[in-house]
Amino acid sequence: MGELASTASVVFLQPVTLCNLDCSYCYLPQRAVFRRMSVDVADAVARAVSVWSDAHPVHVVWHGGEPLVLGVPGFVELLGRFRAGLHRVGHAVQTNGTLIDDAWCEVFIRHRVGVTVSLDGPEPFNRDRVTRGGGESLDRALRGIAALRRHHLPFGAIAVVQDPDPDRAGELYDWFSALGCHSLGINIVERKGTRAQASVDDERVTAFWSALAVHWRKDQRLRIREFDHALRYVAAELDGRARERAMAPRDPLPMIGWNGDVTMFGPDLLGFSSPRLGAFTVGNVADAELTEILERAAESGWVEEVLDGIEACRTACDHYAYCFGGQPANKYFETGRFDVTETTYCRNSKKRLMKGLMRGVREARGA
Amino acid sequence: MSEKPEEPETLSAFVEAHRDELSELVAAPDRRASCPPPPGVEFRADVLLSACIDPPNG
Ligand code: SF4
Repeated sequence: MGELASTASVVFLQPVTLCNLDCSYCYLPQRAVFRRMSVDVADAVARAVSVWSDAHPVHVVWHGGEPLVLGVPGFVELLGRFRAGLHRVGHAVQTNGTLIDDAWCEVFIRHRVGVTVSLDGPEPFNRDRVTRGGGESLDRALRGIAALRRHHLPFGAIAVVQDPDPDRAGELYDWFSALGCHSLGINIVERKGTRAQASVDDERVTAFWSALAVHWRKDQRLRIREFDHALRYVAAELDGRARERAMAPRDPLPMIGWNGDVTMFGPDLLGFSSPRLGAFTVGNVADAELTEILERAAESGWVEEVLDGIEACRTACDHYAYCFGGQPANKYFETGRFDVTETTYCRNSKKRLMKGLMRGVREARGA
Repeated sequence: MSEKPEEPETLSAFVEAHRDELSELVAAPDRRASCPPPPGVEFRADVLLSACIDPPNG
């Protein structure tokens, strides 16, 4: 059960802690201070990534803070430490888009960096994404996106949806289509990190996904990340591969902080700890090689509890072959434990999503 | 008036019960507009999707 793969296909990095925006729902604990990653930390990660890429492609996602706060020279210096093995090492930035200009676009082209912009849609959808002075940030993000388009750079978008209003799902879809992004990820607002606000948790969420699916089926200019996930599961189930896929070792999804601290299961747990389980780290790259750190990760009490939670989902939930046991960060921030199963997050973003998608595609088809 | 048949209780049973229409759905061609890559650069869609924090763990 709950096996962890010994190498990672996606590695998240925090090149800098600071963010130039101050979104009201942001969960990052250190986003108001400037701490940057050293070349030594980048070298330590690059050594492991190079070895892993002998076995399979590896994607390095530069997360944050806001990664572009580092400036072009600082970013290129860190990026330049990475070397591919037999397979490709791809790079991508997760950015708020406000600092993108022609110089950044040239970096993205030269170093083949994929770009995903966090943006919530037209006003008033975007009203929580504010500058440090409390001003709106949409115009600045749109200027950044205009630069991407001038340079013909494909980009994705991720939107946080505070109010999943089914009547506005189509408007949101059309706006992102017109923006020119190739795919859209949708995060229904969650309780995570420093953000204590509760999420919406009712059947309106199903109706929202359903309305979005109707639009998407009729149009299909835009990929919806969550629908892609769901349909990958459906395809596997139809081919009889779903169980086997769900039993495969879990990607550790390491996140390496600016100071070399390593956490796992994506970026969300970095910088957090619990009185019961201690810090949600599994080591620091200054003390051991990243590969060794990940090999020993399952010995950490909190990782053990995460794996117990995944196993509990596997036993209890008929959505496991689609969901793979949920997001540990959501389990912890909602309940204070990792060894639980259902959360508001999984109801909204897995169960209601699947139900809404199925309802929407049937409606679009006239079933 | 005939009664509406009940939906299956588990997700896998639901997929099985709607096999034909779901097969059609997953096989549907991708009609999204493609964004031209910059000259001399090949962007792989799978890499770009991974960039959207699209981790392999579902
Ligand atoms: S849908 Fe919820 S309960 Fe089911 S596997 Fe996912 S996280 Fe666990």
